[in-house]
Amino acid sequence: MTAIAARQISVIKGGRTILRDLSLTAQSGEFVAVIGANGAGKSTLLEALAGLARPAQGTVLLNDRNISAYGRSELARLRAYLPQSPRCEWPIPVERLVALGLTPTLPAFSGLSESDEARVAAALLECDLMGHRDQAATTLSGGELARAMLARALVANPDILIVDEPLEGLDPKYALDATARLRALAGRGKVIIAALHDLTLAARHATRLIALHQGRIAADGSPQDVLTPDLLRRIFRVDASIAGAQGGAFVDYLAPL
Amino acid sequence: MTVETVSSVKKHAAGRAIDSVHALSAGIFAALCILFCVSLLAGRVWLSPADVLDGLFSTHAQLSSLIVTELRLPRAVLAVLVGGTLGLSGAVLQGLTRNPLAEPGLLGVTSGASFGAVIAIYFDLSQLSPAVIPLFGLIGAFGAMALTFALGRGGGTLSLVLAGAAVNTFGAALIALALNLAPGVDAAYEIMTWLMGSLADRSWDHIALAAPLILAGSAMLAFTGRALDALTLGEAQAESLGVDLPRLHVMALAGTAMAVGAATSVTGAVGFIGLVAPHLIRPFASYLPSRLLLPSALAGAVLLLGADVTTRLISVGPEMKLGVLTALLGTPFFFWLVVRLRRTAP
Repeated sequence: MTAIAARQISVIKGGRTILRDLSLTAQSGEFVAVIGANGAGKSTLLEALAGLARPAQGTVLLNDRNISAYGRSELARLRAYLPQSPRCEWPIPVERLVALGLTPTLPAFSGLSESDEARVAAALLECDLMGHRDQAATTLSGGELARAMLARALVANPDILIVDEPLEGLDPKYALDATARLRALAGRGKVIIAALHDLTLAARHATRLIALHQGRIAADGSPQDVLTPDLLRRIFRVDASIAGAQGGAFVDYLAPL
Repeated sequence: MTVETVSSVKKHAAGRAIDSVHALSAGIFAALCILFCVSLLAGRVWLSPADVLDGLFSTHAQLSSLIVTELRLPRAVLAVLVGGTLGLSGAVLQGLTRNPLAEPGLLGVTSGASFGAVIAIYFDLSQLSPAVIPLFGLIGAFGAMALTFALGRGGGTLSLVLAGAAVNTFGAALIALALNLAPGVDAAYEIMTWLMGSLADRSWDHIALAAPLILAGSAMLAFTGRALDALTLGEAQAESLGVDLPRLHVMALAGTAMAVGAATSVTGAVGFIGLVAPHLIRPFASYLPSRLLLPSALAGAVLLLGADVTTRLISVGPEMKLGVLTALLGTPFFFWLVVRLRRTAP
């Protein structure tokens, strides 16, 4: 059983308060989709939950222990984090990029063991990247790179996966694949926290939605409870119609307010 | 997924790149050994291998024995140490900044060391002991390191690099000032020639002074490999993978200050080796920074030793300074780098 919790956290960046007095708990089996307008604080919330942004007030607890009390590699073995639009700076082969996800488990000098290589291969297969294994990561298309990064995050089999906009640039097939994969991971007892822009996918696959508005939680609960025309009007300032339920939910934007 | 797929994939993955980088290191090492032997033979006075062996192992003093043990051997050892350090530090700094134009002087250490040495020459302190110039160079290198660290800490890699650039400019200005105020033409000339960089007339004393720092600094730099690999994914992902960025900055800066600072204090600034060596290796190391470190150090040693042998063989008037030759040979490489970047850029 894994649980991650924010206890009344406030995060300040560059003199601006991004998150205010925010509390939440997520545990094994949950696929939490964080939604909200640009600048609502989604990325900062994810950074704080990943232990990368330190709250000015309040604490983040991982398995009931303050996240800042964890050692760097201990924390890195427990949770994987993917920032928004991750980039690769050298033209390394895709399989080496995926293998970087194993960094916290590797000793300072020796290379990958046979079992490490097998994990990399499994992650490549799972994300349908076998054909790109030897390709330079810098020559991948945006969507292919996003899949490679997801494989990189999954390769070490972390208990907690925190991903910021993992569906950005993905074709419909791969966006559906990726959300289904996140859902399946939650089903296997992982904690998944993802910032998502596609509300339809979020409504269909996430087990829980958290709507952020101006650094606070505007709504938190099951997708059908959270996604209401009223909420979308309030936080996204659009008129929207929401049709269907659970597996067939559908969000359609009608007009800006 | 079947077991066979996984194992065939595994075999495939474990192969090539690692083997090729090991083979490359071994090849460069062999070239270095040959070049090392050649460097003992070559010079104004050519020695035969028999002379060299005799010089190395005979007990009675002869001219050939003096040339080998007191001139050429320390010079070759120093070339290997300094070239290796420059190649290693260049590879680490290019990995740290993820910028192919980074080189060992990036963080201000080289200009600090140069300024320290220039001060010693300016006040004619080298009469006291030949070790004074490198000692002042070391003081300058550590001063520059402290300044870069104080200015650039806590703001990520970019602020460290900007602080290094500021320290570099400051060092260059102070050197220009020393040249400007030099008491006579002789002092100015001595400063200029020292700044050009050379391995000539360096003794075992110089090596005894520089080698421990070069080795300690290089060991520090060698430990950055894993973190540099993770930095390929950017600072946010590297941190999430457990990389301690402030610690990495300290290791890269202190390692460079010790190793390159000590090297520059003894030889003067030798440009381009640290820039060029990693580029020559990178495609063979599948662009992974950690795999680049060892072969890049070896390549730096080969380049510097080769350049030094070349300076001895070119006989146009006074011996050509090492730094001048590396700059002359390095610049066309720079052009090539620009052209290649232009071609591969989208």
